[in-house]
Amino acid sequence: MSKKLLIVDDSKMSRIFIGQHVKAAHPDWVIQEAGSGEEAISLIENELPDFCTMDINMPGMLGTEAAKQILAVHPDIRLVIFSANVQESYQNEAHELGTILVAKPVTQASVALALDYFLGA
Amino acid sequence: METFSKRHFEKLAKIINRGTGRAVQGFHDVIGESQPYWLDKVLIDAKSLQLDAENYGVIEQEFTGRLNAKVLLLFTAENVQRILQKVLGDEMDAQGLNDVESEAMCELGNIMVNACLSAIADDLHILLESTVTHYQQYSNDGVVALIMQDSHAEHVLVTQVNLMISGVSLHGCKLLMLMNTDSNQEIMEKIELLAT
Repeated sequence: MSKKLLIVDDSKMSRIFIGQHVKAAHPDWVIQEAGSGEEAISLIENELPDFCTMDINMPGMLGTEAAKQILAVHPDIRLVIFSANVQESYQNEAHELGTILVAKPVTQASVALALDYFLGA
Repeated sequence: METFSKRHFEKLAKIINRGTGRAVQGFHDVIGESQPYWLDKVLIDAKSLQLDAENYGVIEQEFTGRLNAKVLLLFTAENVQRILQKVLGDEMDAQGLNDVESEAMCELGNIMVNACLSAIADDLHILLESTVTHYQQYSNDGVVALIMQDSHAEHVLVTQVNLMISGVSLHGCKLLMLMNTDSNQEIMEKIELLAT
């Protein structure tokens, strides 16, 4: 069944690369993009994704804060923090949110980690 | 102005080396190949900074928290082109590379700088918040002015790392950490705690 993925990242290049790797594995998935946490929260109010990748360092609110707000209202969304900021503090925060932190760069291997988490592997 | 003792510096150099190792791993992941690398120097003196190239691509990112620092990652303009060609493919022409240069170098810098600073934060048991990365090309003099005009730049920690792409050496990659005296003091205290 087709799934919907929201990619939240201020880097257009990262959004494109994540989208390409996901499409290669799941061509039928619908992909939406947001360039900030605020935009993601606004998009989700109108259209609920099944999955979400969330960067941390973006203009405006931190991705971890956006993730916290999104998961508080929509706990069924499977969300992965996808960031270059791999400090233990952020990894712990991701675990406290019930999710995981996947380290950038965006590669086939790192996207596969996110997909495994989404699909419960 | 308090400076690092030899003992502090040796411990800091170890932490920086670990951080640089993580940054290089990020670089290899981005270019899609693993190559040998080596660290030339870890210095804490802006006067020792040697800028041999005419122009540099500079990625900037600021970190705040228990220490406040601006980090600059420098590649020579020539090496920026090599990196872009490797990451984006040979099919892209010069105009195409110019169009995406800023975006691509910001993302590469984001990965390398955060890998390094995350290792430092973890080793010192502190949390660092950071801004988004900014990329710009500067002349040799422009880089010096950028450092001298920065309010953080009371202490400048310079790490010089030699990277390779497909067997070709990329000389002149430098990671500069600009810190004020309070942050310098904070690092020394944290290193002191680690030693006890």
